[in-house]
Amino acid sequence: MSPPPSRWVASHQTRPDARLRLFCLPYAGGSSMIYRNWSKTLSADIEVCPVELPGRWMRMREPLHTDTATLVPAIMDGLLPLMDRPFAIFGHSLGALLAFELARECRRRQVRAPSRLYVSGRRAPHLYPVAVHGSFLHLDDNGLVDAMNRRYPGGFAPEVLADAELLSVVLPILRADMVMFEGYKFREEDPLDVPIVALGGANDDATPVADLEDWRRHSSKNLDLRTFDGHHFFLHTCEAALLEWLATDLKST
Amino acid sequence: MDIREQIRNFIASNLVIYEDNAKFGDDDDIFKAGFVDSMFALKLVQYVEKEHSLRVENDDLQLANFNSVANIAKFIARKKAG
Repeated sequence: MSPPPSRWVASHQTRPDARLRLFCLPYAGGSSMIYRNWSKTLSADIEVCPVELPGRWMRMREPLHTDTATLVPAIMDGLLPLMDRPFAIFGHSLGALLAFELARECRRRQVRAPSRLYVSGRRAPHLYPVAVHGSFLHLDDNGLVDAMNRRYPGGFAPEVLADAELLSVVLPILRADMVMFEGYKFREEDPLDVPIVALGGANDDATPVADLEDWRRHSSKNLDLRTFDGHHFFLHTCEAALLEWLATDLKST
Repeated sequence: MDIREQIRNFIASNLVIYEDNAKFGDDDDIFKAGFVDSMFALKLVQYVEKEHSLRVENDDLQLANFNSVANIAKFIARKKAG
């Protein structure tokens, strides 16, 4: 029997015979829609579950979280009914941080561990996120847009930048996520008994490929590194190559 | 122009994949078909609120209210009937 529909994975294509679920966590300002092409591209034995965080898309009227310490247990509560079969977790940027903390939360609650953890576009969590570039939290709206465009080129769709009303909806989400991102407090714990794959864009200045190697200390199993052409948003600009690679990688998961 | 046609036009003007022959029926799931981009959800709710002078509440935000032309039209009619 399939679990009741959840607001945490509201828009996904259910696949009752899938052998593996893939929970996908969004980057700052993003919603489940950033993973909208994944389900139809990955093979039929994978059930792609893009996670919807409070405050976006079908949850746009719910309050935004600003602290991983409250959000991660809430995600866990939301996804637990879907952890009745093997699963992997994928997260990009802020989503990678959430994915990592979610894997730790599984261990804390002594539930099934993820079969694999994909952390994309994010330095290892013990490295301070804003050391290199400085904080964005004090910036006004124009300053924030400029700074985001410089550090994470391509993050804003041109149509959003051209539409003050859309931008006024997107920016509060982004700000809340940046508070969460910059305010994240890493706590030392034992490495996860989960293989980790760290992914990055070869030209992502915000996430130097050399820093991906630092994820190694967080897995007692194995760390794989994989880079793709592009900047921070290779997730989108290199989507076809990423999904082709992921489809193969998931076969051994 | 009837309400379904208005909704169809709104969706058509916001499609990501738009081929001349791309047709979606009033009952087709516009999200599952992958027709729309990540901003579409916001734009759709804004459109419904503005064009039809109603407020989409948290409890209204269910995919079942927004995932097809027919369901959007039904939702608007229900809200207007109050």
